[in-house]
Amino acid sequence: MKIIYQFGIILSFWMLGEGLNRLLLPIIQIPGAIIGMIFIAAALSTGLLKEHHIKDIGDLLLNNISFFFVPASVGIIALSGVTGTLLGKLLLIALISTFTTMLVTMWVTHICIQLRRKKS
Amino acid sequence: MMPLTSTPAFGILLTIVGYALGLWIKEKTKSVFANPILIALVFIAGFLIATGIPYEAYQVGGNAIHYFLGPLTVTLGLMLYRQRQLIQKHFISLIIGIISGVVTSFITILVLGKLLGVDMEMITSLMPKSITTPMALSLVEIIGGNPAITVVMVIITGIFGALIAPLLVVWFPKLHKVAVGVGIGTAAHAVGTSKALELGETEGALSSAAIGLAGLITVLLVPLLLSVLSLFN
Repeated sequence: MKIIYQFGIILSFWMLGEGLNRLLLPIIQIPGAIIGMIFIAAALSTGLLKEHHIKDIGDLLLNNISFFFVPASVGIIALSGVTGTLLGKLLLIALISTFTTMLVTMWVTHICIQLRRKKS
Repeated sequence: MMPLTSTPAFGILLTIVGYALGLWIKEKTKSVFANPILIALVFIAGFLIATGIPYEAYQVGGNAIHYFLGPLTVTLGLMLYRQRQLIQKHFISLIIGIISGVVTSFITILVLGKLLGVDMEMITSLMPKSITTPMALSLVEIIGGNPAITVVMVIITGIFGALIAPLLVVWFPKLHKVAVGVGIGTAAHAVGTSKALELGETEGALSSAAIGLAGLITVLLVPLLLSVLSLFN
């Protein structure tokens, strides 16, 4: 039962996030699950929520994270209105962009860490 | 009588079998190219096409697994909490690095898309490719695009990222571990993070932190960049 209760806590934060998402909608659109994520981190940091309250369900989900992405990836066989050529182009863009994004992020972060270390 | 494949058990079972096969091949070959999601995708897609079972039948069970991406995103808050000291210590470097990554992703997709003659709807569908699925779906809803394409490209990007990351680490061995983690999480979300966790604890932790932060920055920044862009058109 413990894991079910813990799942209930996770879902409560998700609902809370969805509620806030709707309140904020006229100003800005932030996904409810993301607000829930920030709230969980905040609740844990302030001690309102203890790690053992969500630890089992948290580790269960996080340790098997890749598994939950499988159904979404299979969607590639059902893409309607996408020809082979277009799909090839999209894949090429994704590959080059992912490579460049990773390279730039790593180096910029690396240089920032070095600069800040020198300063202090 | 309803066909056996229309029960949720079919899609769930096929996903488990495909994923188990992926993990097994990865364990056996130890190859960076043996990505469990990619192997599961090839196996399941191959199975559906070979047997002529419609994708919709798979989707019944597949959705049951897919819906867990919501709670999974919420749970990432636990990761942020666990790594709060490391995140706090390098927060400014992290944010600057992630913003540069988000802008790089935006520019490369836009420029390559225009060069290859891809229309704007497809380009905006690609824009959320580097962030985690639930956030990507929210973003594509805001900026307008094809959510089906986004979902698939997000996963493919993650797989690409998991393949690229070990190469970059070999090419640039002096890169700070924190920087490596941030780069992987920013470019390739949770799928890349599974690879970062294998590289080391620090890499995995920072990559997890970067998933949420990069997602948030992307969701806030990309609509802004697009509206600035539309001023020039």
